[in-house]
Amino acid sequence: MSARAGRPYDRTVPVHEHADAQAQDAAPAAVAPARAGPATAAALALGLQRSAGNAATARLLQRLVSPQARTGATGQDDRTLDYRRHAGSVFVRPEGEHRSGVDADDIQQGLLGDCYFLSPLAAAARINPQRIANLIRGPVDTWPDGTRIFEVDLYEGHWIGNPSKRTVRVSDRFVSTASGDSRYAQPGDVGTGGGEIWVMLLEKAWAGMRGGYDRAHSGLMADGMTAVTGIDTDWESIEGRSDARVWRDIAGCVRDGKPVTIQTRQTLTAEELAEARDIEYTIFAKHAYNIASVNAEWQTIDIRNPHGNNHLNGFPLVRLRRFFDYYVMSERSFR
Amino acid sequence: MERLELPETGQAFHAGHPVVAANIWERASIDDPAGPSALRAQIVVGEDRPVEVVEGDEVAIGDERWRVEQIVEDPVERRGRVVLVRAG
Repeated sequence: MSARAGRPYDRTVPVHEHADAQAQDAAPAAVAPARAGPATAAALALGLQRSAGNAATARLLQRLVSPQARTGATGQDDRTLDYRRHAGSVFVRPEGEHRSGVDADDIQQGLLGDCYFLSPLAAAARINPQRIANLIRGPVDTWPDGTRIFEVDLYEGHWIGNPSKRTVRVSDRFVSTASGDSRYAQPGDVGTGGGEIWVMLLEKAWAGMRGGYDRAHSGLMADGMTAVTGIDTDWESIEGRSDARVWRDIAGCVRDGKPVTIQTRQTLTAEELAEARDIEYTIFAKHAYNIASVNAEWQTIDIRNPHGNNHLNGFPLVRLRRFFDYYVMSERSFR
Repeated sequence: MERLELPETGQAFHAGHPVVAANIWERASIDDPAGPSALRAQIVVGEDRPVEVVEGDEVAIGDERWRVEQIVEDPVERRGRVVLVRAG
């Protein structure tokens, strides 16, 4: 989409003000075959497996049986939120950071429950920061009041595979507190105009693709992973897999430059929370983390929290299944 | 009365401190796993150890004291929340 394509500007009602101004068709979670097909879910899955292969079948099943709701409508009206301009540069490049200015450590989740988007973003940014930087163009326009408009490319996954690119136009006005601070994703490194806004732009574009911040609250790590990489994903449940198999998958992803994220269980018992305390980790249930690195000698995994703190560095493989449910891997390298 | 609403696993920033509410459901206390169940949550300020709370407890955020007014477990959305009110 070109900078001038799409709906015309309306200076009275700024269309890029709110994330839900970008509302588009929500991807259907269920299957709607174009012609008469199998009558049962099992027959549908078998037919799909024969025609589209295992990966597409797994993606479909993931959407149908995932423990996480695809969306989490909270009844919030995005238009009632307080949006304010954040004048920081898109990217700030402190010494030692990649020349693009993108760094996984720039990511700091706010009040929005979009760990499932920010964790894949962190995993991907760690592997190839330039590809993440390339998702954002602009400003492609500037309004008289100084509001900057950006174009952001993200990808929408489909159960048959082959993600499609969507271009979303967003302004530099973000949901803010009374004191002007961002309520959702936080600014990154501080430059001359304020904190860098690349994470905030990507989050806002994602919310726009989902139909508003309200619909971006809670979702699937696979959707977040595909959105930022344009690559389909595989997911594996930890239960029923040996530690050796889990290690092979995760260490293989790290070696091959495939982003990988991992989801904690929906609930933890008092004993499990006590165990976390005893080994001095702060673990949040129902939360998406991302994998930074592995240590083969010690069989430990550096698991990062999209909050930007309370990381689970050096987490022992043998304790993974006590706290984590499943992991999502990019099907291809992101290098 | 000053209030602070913390959606489960979201991260708020208050007075320069990141604050997270997490692990919200009905369960026994971490300090007494064999004890009675209640609706409990953990509040984490920065990288301090999590503090387990029930409604009515007080927690510290920096130099401030906050009372846990409400803990909500949300089985529909699968994310709960904790509401704090400024104490004192």
